[in-house]
Amino acid sequence: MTTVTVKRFTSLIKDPTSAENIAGQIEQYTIQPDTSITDIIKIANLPEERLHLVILNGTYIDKDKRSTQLLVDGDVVAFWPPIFGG
Amino acid sequence: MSWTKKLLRINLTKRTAKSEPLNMEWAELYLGQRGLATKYLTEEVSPTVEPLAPENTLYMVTGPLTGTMAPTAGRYSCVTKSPLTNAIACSNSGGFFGNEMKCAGWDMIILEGKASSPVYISIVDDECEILPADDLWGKSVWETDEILHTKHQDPQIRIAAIGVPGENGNLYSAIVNDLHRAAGRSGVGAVMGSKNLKAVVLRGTKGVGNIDNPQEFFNATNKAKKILAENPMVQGLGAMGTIGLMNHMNEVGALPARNWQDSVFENAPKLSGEATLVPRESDGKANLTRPGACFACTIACGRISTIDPEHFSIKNRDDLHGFFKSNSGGSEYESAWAFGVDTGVDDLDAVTYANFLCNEQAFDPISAGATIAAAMELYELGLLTKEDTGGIELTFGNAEAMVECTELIAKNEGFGIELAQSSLRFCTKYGRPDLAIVVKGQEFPAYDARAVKGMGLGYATSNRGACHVRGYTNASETIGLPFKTDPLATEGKAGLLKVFQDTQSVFDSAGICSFTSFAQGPEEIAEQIDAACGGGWTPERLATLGERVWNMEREFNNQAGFTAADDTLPPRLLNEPVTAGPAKGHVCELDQMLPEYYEIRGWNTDGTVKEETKQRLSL
Repeated sequence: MTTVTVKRFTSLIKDPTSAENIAGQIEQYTIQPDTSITDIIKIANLPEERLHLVILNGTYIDKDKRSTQLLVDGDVVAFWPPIFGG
Repeated sequence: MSWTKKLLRINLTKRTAKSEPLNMEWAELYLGQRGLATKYLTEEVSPTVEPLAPENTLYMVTGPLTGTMAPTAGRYSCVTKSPLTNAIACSNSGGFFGNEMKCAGWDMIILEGKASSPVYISIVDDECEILPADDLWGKSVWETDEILHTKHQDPQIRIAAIGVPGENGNLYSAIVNDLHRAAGRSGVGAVMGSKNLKAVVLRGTKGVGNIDNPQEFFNATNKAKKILAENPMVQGLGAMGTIGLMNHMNEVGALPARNWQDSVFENAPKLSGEATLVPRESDGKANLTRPGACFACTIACGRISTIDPEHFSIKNRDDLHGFFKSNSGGSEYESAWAFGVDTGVDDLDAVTYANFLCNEQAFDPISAGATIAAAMELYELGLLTKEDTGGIELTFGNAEAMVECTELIAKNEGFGIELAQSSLRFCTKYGRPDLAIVVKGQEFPAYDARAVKGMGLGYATSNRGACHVRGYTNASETIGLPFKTDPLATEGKAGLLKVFQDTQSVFDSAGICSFTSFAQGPEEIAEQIDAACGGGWTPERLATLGERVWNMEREFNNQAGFTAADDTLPPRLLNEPVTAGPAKGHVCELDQMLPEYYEIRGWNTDGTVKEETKQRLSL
């Protein structure tokens, strides 16, 4: 069984008023082998057009590699809409 | 031309004020604000001047777009020689003060000399008065603002003032305008205080005219506003503010914690933008009350926040100004990091309270928080004792201790007087200057240079000491703007940084906010400036202008005594690898980037600017 963690941040969080979501809204999914990041985006029903940063275990994944980057058991994928700061 | 073509030169020693024509030859080469005032500084002030001596000069300056309908055109800067770094200082602020200066008919206010007793300046269009401020000395910015509004009986005046730290030479004291906006870094408040100048009051009724081609300007600014409105970053900044970065920087392992001993903070979510939206148990309200915007801003990144009424910092406190129990500006990403992550404190209300203190008394939250963090490390090492701190148990994570230290800094009392001397001087006194996380004496902002290496090169070469808004390569390295680069790579960072530094110099010289840079580029800026100022402003000309400003600042610093040896990082960043997170095992390999940077800049290996570079840039 392959289980991965999806973390939604900022405006991707479904309930931003919940204290449980301050470290990102965390969801766990059991997936089939050969599931890619593009696949998990669909499985988690994430709004693809608003996904700016995809960070797999702390490492940025290029947009054009989302469909070929396969997930393995224990992976943590963080999704961000456009953010800025400083 | 959208310059007023006039400046007001005030000599506080002689108590004189006179109007002068703006040097338009310089305006054509340096545009305005940061670039133009730095040109005046380099022509009028010795690079070796003692920063807090009367011979140093403080320039309050707008850009040609300030006060116009260009988006975010509310900026002004304070330019001087810094008492914190002994290098060039240029601190940029929003709010409404810059617009008011322009509406009063002035591009720039030059403040020379030193008054024999405390004064404030009142400028109403062409009329300038230098008035006694004995009753204001010792007051906070917020009290000063109230008193002056009452005295002048004009709700539309705009005020920039210093607090108690600025009066007493705090090396990172700021100048706060419009109650909650700050020219925050490099100790510009101490320079104002050294002149016995408490506040500048402005009222302008003239509006901003002189647009060279109004129709083209209307078209260009509308286009820019549309670009901003359609850019998803704008929505992100408006919704979450800069503090929305907190979880992101933690996730990528670039959030320096506990005086940079770590680059991941386990409790960062408690200080995150997400946390500011969650209603608390006591009153059912969230920390974030609403977004705030400066003049002509279409982004509204500002945070207007409230502190939990049950929090120890304000509960049963009748001595506090009312804003502490209603709302004020902050927390920003940087202030929440400095008072929180860097000190190991995970208490959002404590961090917000410390941020409010910075607004009330005008001092830099980055340098203040970082200095407290350095003191905490000294304390945990046993090099600083309770006897030194006045009884404060100064351990990492102690929110009460962080708050007490910040209050003492704000009041300039007790242990706070020592902390007001900044982390480098403080750590040097206690025998560990290496624990001061500074470049050229200025404290680092919130991006770990071991995990975002372009930022390390940027800190090392920033003309005003460690700084994130001089060359924000983090935009590319971890956020992916305008394109994504690998934050752990050193290759290519020299060229990337130069573009960011030069472009930032243009934004800072134009009168607009750097936060528009994620959406509008040189083409859009050139169109607006060209329509406002008269023809001939191309993206290429602006790029050269940005490079010229950067090199002019560099020349000033070199003449002030800085050398290539000052373009370095603290030993911790160079030698102590990150212990956890995506950057585990990494240090910042500055030596792999710096030689290439010098070469791209057209500098000699000793850090001086080559003659051919000066000639190319008309320096």
